Amino acid sequence: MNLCPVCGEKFLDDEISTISSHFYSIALSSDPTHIMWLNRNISKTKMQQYALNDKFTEFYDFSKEGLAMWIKKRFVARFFNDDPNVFVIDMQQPSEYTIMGYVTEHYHFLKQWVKSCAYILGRTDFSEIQKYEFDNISEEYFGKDGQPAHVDLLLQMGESVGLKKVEVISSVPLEKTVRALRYWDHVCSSEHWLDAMVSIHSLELIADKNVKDYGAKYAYFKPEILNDGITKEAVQFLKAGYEADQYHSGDALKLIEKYARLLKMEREVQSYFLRSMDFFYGYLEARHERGKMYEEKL
Amino acid sequence: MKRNYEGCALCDGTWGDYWREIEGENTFFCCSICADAFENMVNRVKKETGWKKIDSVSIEGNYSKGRDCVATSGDNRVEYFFRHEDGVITEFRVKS
Repeated sequence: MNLCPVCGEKFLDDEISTISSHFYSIALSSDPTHIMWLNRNISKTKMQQYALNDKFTEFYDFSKEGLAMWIKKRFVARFFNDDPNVFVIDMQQPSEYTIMGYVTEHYHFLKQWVKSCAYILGRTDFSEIQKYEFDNISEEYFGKDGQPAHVDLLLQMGESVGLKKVEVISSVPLEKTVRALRYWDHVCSSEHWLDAMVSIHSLELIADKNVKDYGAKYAYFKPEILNDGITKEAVQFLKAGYEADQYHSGDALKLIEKYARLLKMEREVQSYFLRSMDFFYGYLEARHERGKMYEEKL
Repeated sequence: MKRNYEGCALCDGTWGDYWREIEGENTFFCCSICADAFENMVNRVKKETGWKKIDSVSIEGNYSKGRDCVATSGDNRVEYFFRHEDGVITEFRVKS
């Protein structure tokens, strides 16, 4: 099985030619979303169908470095290239409004995150996956090794820049956040648990300390800001994520690589990852938009 | 209208086959979103400058960075920056 990383259409086989011909025919009809994807990932220049097929073969090829590294490099190319996501730019020198936007949208993300982990836990019979997700849920909501819960650290970070907890909890997420949360809820509750797993845990790469090893021009934030320029609560939250997410995404990607091989689901795992990454891109834009809204209001 | 791109008037891509009349000229775009953004940008330039027509537009940039542009009309010239979201202008700033 495979699916289109743009529209989600499912294909019974996982041949590259099936997906490339899907893109080719839809691009001929000037569909904006598929064309934008081609422009961004394959080429801005129109080509013959056979040439597009070759490009897709190259794009999906993970034989040299393995699936986990393929995911890392694709993620870095999308978020940390010369032209990074607008929220990554914000985070290079985060203002109090950046932090406020981060806290508000991320609160809703975390609530969905825990549900997504729970869906995976409930839908797999592999105990190492269940343990992994259980660990993840408890760290988000209850804390680990005497550390406060991740969600509490997030709310404390908001309060440290004047954003009341009640305001965050009663807020309505922005449209791009809603769209992304709805997608992750659907994937995790309805699709194969491994597709769900790659859809959410690959996103933890955003805070991976080692992104520069995979070709990143930027990191999520400059480590110097942990020493100066932001509140101590913001330091505590970012530090926890910085340390935990790197560990999480690394472990998760190893599990994903292992089970994708075992279950012969590598191609569809790649496509689910690509599709999820686009929703995440929009979600990060929502954090930026929310920050701008606070800036205009205050 | 003179443009610096040979492909889509907004993004220079050559996929797609979408045409729209802009300033009396049948213009190629890769998709309707690029056409909306370009048309809205042209109308915004005319509104900001008071020009009746635009002779040329030169664009550098992309969706995430935003676009730095230069437009001319006769001897007049304007430099500006804009961003769009789904073809709707979300930021427009005249630079000089």
